Amino acid sequence: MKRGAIVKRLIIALFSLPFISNGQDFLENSQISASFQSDAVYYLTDTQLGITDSTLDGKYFRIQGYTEVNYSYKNFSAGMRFEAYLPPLLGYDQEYQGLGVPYWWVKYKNKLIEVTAGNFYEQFGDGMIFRTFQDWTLGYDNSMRGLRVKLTPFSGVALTGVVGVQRNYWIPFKDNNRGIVKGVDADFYLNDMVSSLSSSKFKLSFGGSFVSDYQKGKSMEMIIPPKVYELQLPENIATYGGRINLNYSGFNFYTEYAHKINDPSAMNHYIYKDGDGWLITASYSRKNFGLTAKTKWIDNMSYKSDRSVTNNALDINYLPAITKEHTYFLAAMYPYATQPTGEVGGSAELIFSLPRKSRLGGKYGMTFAINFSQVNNIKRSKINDTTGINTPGTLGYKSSPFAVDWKDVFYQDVNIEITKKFNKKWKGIFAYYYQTYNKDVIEGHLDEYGTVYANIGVVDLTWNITNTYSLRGELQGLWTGQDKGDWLAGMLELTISPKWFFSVSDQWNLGNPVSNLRLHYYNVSAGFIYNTTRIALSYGRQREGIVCVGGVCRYVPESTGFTLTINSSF
Amino acid sequence: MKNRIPSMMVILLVVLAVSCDKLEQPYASEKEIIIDTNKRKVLLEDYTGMKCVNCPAATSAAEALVELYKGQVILMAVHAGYFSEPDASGHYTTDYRVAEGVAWFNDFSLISNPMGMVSRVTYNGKKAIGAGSWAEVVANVAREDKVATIHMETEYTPTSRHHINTTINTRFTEQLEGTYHLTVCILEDSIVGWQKNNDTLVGPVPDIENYLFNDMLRAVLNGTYGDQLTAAVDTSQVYAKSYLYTLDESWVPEHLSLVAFVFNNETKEIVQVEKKHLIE
Repeated sequence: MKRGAIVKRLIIALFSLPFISNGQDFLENSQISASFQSDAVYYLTDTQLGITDSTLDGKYFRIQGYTEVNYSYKNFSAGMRFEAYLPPLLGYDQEYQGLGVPYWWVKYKNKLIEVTAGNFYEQFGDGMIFRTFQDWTLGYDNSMRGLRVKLTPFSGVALTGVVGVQRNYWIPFKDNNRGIVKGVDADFYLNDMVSSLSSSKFKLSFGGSFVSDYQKGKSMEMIIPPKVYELQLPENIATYGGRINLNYSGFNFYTEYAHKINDPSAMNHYIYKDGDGWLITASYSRKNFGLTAKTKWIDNMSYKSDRSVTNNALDINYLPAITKEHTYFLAAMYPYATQPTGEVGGSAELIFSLPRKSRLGGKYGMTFAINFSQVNNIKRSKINDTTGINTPGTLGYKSSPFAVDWKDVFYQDVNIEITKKFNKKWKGIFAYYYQTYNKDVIEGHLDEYGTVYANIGVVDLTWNITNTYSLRGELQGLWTGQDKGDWLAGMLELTISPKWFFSVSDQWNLGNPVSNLRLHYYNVSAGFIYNTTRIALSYGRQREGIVCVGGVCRYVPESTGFTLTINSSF
Repeated sequence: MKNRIPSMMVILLVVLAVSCDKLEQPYASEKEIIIDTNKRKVLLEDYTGMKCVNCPAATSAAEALVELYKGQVILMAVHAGYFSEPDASGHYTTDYRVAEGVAWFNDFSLISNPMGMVSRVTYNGKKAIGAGSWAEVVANVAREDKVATIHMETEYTPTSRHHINTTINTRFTEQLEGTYHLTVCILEDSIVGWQKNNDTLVGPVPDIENYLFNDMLRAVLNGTYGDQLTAAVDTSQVYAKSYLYTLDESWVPEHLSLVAFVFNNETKEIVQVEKKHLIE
């Protein structure tokens, strides 16, 4: 018997102990799954990057990881996640330092009701008034700890109620040190509710949500130099929203609106203006063709369960991103971070393929992906002649839905990616990007860096040498007159299926205005895959920047060192 | 069960409906502070750095509190953390850090700048408090009754200008539990240097060339966590500690102050603090 299977049986037996009288039944009907990840880095000092013992705080070896175990038996399931940050890797929030079980849950589910006690992740609609989630890449976790009840009273009707407090690193909830979040959500799927519409091509669903955050404290003192003011505070901050989704054949239309009442916080300079969020998405797709258009309006929609928090913690809601996430080194150098205090934007993406054996498509066809997105500041005006915009203790400013401040561009991205298979052995991706990146706004500076305008080109070629060996190479260039100037990057990756991969890469900041900062950010790595286990070891330099997932970002500092990553699941 | 669902939903909606506090203007009113000498003095530690763009605004807010509380709040600017590390060249080459300040920064998990501590009380589970909450926490601490008094006597003669001899007399007015320590620091005002800045209300952005650093921690006379005063408080006793110290020649005596604070060594909470200029 394999080691994994033995471990699995042992764990099942452990869970089954309380029910020993029905031991045979438990062993037959129990299911268990687990996953594991560990990231360890040994950092090195690097005089060129200015990394010293002091900047590393003397902590050269850092490791973080988790193990998650889930168990189910008939209608019952339970799970837990153990995490350790000893200490956290550089670039992750150092408040995570520690270890323990921040996430555990038990659940009972039947056709009518599902009850979860403990921690849970949940999302209402697209999340504009409520979404809790975890992302290991970002080091982000805003899970709820409390109670969740889901009801399905009729076919096509889904009701959800939640109450609890959010995870705040390792800080336990006590003395109302953060808000208590409660909410309800209802989803109605018309085609499931009305039997005559069940086979209709026209699909309609709609829903609505209400969330409230209770945070103790009816007033607070605030310094607006040279005076101190007493601000009255709302203890219960409510948000509500609705959404509708229409689908006919290849067409799809989705819109969601959210509204938040007065929520003075450190994020919005303690202003009392109501918040609004509006997302509209329309798409059409058929074979070899897809077109998607999105627009969103975000006005004072930061919503946290602690009004004093400004970092990536205790977010009750999530504001969806409409810009495209890129994976190539240089195309991902300037990603967009959602601005919850105010942004208005639009995006469109066209994907089409020239068919196989056509004149232009050639023997294997050719695919084009053309994408455009732009995000601007919202247009704000003073509430009166004597009060400045965002003055604490006031309404802050006036705005109108979808009124754009055209002069204040936060981000723009125009790009085209062409994917072409030349023959059975060769495939290529050719891409061009033009990005406008307001570094001050996106990274939270003020008039320090200005806006970066970058042209980026990528050539990505894959050579399938044999059925087992393949070699992939990337050549990338970024040209800009701002920030750190031009970059050149290259990467070679050899894959020996199904177990091995090796890669070597370099990002060269050849155009840095400061000659001794024209540095190479090299990396060599190797990896091994065995069933569901992946082990990767790398050595090299990490370039400074921000990494974003869905518009939520974290800062990554420069570093040099060895990295070992192990992940596994069974 | 299904028949109960509508009534359950109605109850839930009623509960949620009251979960909504819509406020009316005015939202803010000017705060008046009545200084009561029977109340505890407050030490506001401003952990800052010359390369921290948000720090001048935070320091400005801290100075506003000092002004408002007229002697009841004592400010100490501690340069520590990433943004206080000097560059090898350029405008930001001066190292304002003090080893004890860096140790406090690390020990109390200040993590970044600007960040502060208010008499090292625990607020929302942490000692580190963001600048936006300083006024709130200061107000809470300043409302508490005084539990100790500190009297400072410092001998300083301009002829032997680099030597000081200070005696700190502490008397507890409440029977407190625990072990209490005393820390004595030297602060300096009016140091001029470069400071990064992102607040146009405070000064030019992104750099202020002649920024005035006040209340800057220059030295700690008796180590990171000071000297023990007593492990069993006796309200009838006066606990006296004397220190001889040689001032750095670059410091300006007219700009120097001594700050002494008494704290519980288990919780590290500062129960009383006092400040005295070297030259009155």
